[in-house]
Amino acid sequence: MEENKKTWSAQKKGVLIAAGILCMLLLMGAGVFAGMHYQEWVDAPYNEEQTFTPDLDEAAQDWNGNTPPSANGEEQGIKIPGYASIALPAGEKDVKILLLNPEENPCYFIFELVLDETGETLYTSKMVAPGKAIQEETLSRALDAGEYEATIKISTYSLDTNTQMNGANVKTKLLVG
Amino acid sequence: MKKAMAFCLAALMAAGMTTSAFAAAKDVNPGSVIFDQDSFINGKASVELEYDAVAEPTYTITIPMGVQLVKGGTTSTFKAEGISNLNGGKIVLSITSTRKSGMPDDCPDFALYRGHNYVPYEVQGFYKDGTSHFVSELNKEVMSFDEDGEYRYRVIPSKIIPVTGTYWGNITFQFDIVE
Repeated sequence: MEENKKTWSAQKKGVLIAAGILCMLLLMGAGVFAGMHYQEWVDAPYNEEQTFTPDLDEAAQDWNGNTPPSANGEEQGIKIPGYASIALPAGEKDVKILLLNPEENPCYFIFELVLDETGETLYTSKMVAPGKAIQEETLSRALDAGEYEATIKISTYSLDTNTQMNGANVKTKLLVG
Repeated sequence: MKKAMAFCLAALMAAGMTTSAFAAAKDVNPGSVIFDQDSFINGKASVELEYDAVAEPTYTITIPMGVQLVKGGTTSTFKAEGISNLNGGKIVLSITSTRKSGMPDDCPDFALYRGHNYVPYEVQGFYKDGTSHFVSELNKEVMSFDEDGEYRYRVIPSKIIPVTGTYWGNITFQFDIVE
């Protein structure tokens, strides 16, 4: 009886040790795996390399007119169009501003027109592909005659991965009359 | 003969109005002029002119696609074109944001981010006359220019890069026109 008890206790001890070793091995394996992939997980939010469908602005059309001054053969960058001033009709929501994404650009543009004084967004586009331009916009409200300080915010997203790139805020004056 | 004279006069008037519409291009921005000849009866001609004004860009600045940070700093360039259209005004360039969507809130401005590490940096803007100054705050002038050309700036890490690899961050530049 005592002998059986001892044998059972020894077997139990062996099983526990084996289970302990197995657990340790599993933990070590998990640790090694986590260590090997940690940086990938951390970087995952910024590596949006899965295919994506851009939400293109349907109002954007091919632009074959004059492009802003430009030279070819230079190192690749993002061409940002600047507007010294923009003349708009008073009391009308439908306006005509050429919001252009130059053809050479490696990214989509999203345009946002904001009044500086109030921070009010008058217009936001969807994505505009390189070589396309929106020529007619509908503002959120009509403006009274006058001069307004405004900013055209241009956000940029890479063509293949939708990763955000350097952007620009272009200050301008809205001459409404 | 009278009819021919009247037609020539109408054409001259149309040409004159077209010219004056484009003469204002710097302020109003160019558009297209549609010339419709409505009638030409008994030596009297009438025309309908429609000025379809679309506000177009007046200048272009080429900015770098991203921020590169290496030991010792990285030099990048802006390329300014069409600055003469500003009628003597100059562009003042500043940085209005250094964040990228998804960056943690505790990552400070003027820093690139990787995992739990971030590397602060400074931006050194170079003026055409060779002078330069350092900027590490938002909305401060990095440089200014009043003519076309290439203008340099340098991104310099403020401390040793703790872990090698790709660090994340973007710069949103701001262009102001100052008379």
